Amino acid sequence: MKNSERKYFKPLDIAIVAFVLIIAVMAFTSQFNTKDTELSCVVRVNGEVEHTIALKNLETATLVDIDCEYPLSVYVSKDGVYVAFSSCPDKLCEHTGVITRASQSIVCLPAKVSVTLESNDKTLDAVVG
Amino acid sequence: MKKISTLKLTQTALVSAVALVLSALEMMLPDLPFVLPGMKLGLSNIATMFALSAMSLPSALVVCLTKALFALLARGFTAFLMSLCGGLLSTLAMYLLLKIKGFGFMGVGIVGAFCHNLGQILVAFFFTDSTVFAYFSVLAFFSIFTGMVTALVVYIILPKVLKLRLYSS
Repeated sequence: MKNSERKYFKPLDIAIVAFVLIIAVMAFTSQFNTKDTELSCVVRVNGEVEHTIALKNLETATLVDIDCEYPLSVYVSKDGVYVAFSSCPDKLCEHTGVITRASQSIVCLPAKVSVTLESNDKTLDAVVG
Repeated sequence: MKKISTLKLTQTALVSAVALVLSALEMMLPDLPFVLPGMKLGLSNIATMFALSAMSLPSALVVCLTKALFALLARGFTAFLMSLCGGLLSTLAMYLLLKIKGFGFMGVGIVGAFCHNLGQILVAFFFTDSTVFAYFSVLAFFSIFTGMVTALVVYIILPKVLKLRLYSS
């Protein structure tokens, strides 16, 4: 078949939309399967853990300086975490804003740094079956 | 080595140039306000999809490579790897779908946008860790819309450009 004769929409396209939607929903729900208690902020550089800060015990907010290819500062308080300053060229990590819940993360790709809120509470909500 | 005709060479160069202009244009646009930082429309996918529909797989791959080299010059090595990986994956996926009669341009465009995101997320995963997959759900969701837009553009311009007889289908 010539591509110039191809239609814009064919019924099978719905299957593609459905497939992509299912993957999006699955990836989305997998983020929220942890409780929001006992958060800790984990900073990884090149995939290796550099800092782990428990948010609950934090009395005052602190700035954590991370030494890497593009040095950046992370503001850590018990209400949330954000990248206060980054020397990377695209500043996407700064623009990400504040993260407050478990499994949320800020990634700075040029600096190869990821900041994640992880739940310390590994117990299950419920077991069914 | 197989000889490349001057026509094919010129066609590929022309579409590559269009892809670069679209990439540059997109870099100038501000981040979309309602979505995640770093998310883009993927306008240059129009060029790769056009190359696949009107020309051949090798031409489309050359367009991808040119786009990736532009990313290397403009935004650095990580951007190069992400552009290359996403581009190759989406081009191959769209090539396979275009072989099948049952799919319209819309389906092909969505799969292209989705695979582009998938390739980029895999590179990001390689550099950091699994936390980048949190981004993936939103990226996948929006790839439905960006894919529809790029496919619509190709659907509209393809018959018009072919009428010019510059491109042998």
